[in-house]
Amino acid sequence: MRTISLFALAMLCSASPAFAHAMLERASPLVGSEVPAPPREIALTFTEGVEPLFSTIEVRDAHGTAVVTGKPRTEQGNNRRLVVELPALGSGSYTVIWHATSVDTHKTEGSYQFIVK
Amino acid sequence: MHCSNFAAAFVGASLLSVQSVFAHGFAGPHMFISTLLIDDPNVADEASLPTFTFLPQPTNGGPAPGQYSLEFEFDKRITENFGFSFNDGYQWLRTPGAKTFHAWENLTATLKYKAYVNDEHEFMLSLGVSQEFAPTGTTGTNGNALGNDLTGTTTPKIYWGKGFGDLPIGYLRPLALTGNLGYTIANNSLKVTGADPDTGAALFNNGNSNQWNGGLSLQYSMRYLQSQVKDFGLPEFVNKLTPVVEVSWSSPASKPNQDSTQYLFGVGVNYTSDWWAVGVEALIPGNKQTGSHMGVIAQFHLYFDDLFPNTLGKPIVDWFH
Repeated sequence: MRTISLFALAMLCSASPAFAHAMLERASPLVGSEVPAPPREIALTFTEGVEPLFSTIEVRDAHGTAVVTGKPRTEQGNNRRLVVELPALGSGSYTVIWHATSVDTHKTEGSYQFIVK
Repeated sequence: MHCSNFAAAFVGASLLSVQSVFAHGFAGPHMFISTLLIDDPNVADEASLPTFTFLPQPTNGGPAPGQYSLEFEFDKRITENFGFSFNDGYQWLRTPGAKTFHAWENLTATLKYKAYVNDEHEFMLSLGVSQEFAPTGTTGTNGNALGNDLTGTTTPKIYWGKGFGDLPIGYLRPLALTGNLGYTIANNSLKVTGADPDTGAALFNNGNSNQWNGGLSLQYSMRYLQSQVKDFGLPEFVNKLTPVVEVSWSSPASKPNQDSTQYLFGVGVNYTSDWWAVGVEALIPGNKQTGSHMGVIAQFHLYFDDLFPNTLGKPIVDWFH
């Protein structure tokens, strides 16, 4: 029993600060929104810091053609916000497909649509 | 090496040294919550500390005995998709005007393997086997009153979860259905040993009958609605909620038996934060054999993969890398 207690104590003492899975907290353009003008960028704000080298944002038009495949970046001093620049978009429906790796290596993914009027 | 290249290489090496980490119950973008009446399909590093239950028991006209319990569960991954868990708990049976009985339950251990995950179609399938060790709980008068088995059982089980993200109707996509189905095999079969000389009623040995058991949960993820379908700008607190309806069921599968078919419904909500979750549900007996009145169940749940990502929260095989 004492061995188990010492082991448990060692595990707890060696624990890192708690991080978590990076869930999508806010997106710009908003998830499921209609925007009057083409956005210049996709900006995803997560609940945890993400690692841009191992995260992706892809944008596809209504025909499934990729309009953005570039690497996203995080903002200086805010690693929860992942951003990728957009080319000039025409009117229509677009799908954003993202994969995020949080700073403690947990992986999450998702997709959503927005419409440019 | 340029500083940024060095940093990139370091981060890359760090990430490559860790396998993909999905330890929450994700199938694609859908996360299956930790349900209260049935086990979820995921294999993870987590604990339920504790689960509190109150359910008024069946009665034959007198005051309904109230059964209270505090249950504990610890789940640990051995490899990425294979793990074990231990369950135990303490129960009280209080009847107005009568003695209160209390007892430790028998210890149950489970081995579970996450056999298949389809991210695109938000589907997860796991297989497991549970062993109830008896008599590890309280025996004697208290154990008898609380229905503690004197001999063990073995239960092979299949678990699944399916998100509704494939549906064309956006507001239905946050739904998910999880469930499990098991067959409990008595380690010592129940047998009639004679008849009571006074009443003529059958007398039994201390064995058990076999049983079918399982359950379903239907859950609606507000996080999925906000991040996959439409963001209504609701407070973050609301986005962490998952309303859920559950049913658990058991039915005798061999003769003779002393049990009856039971159904128990749970209706409530789960709140999942970063490394912990809380669930509360009203319990509704589905028939007279399950309970006499509504009860309640509540659980505090810890996710070790987020709380201790470098130690207790990763598979045992990765501790030595």
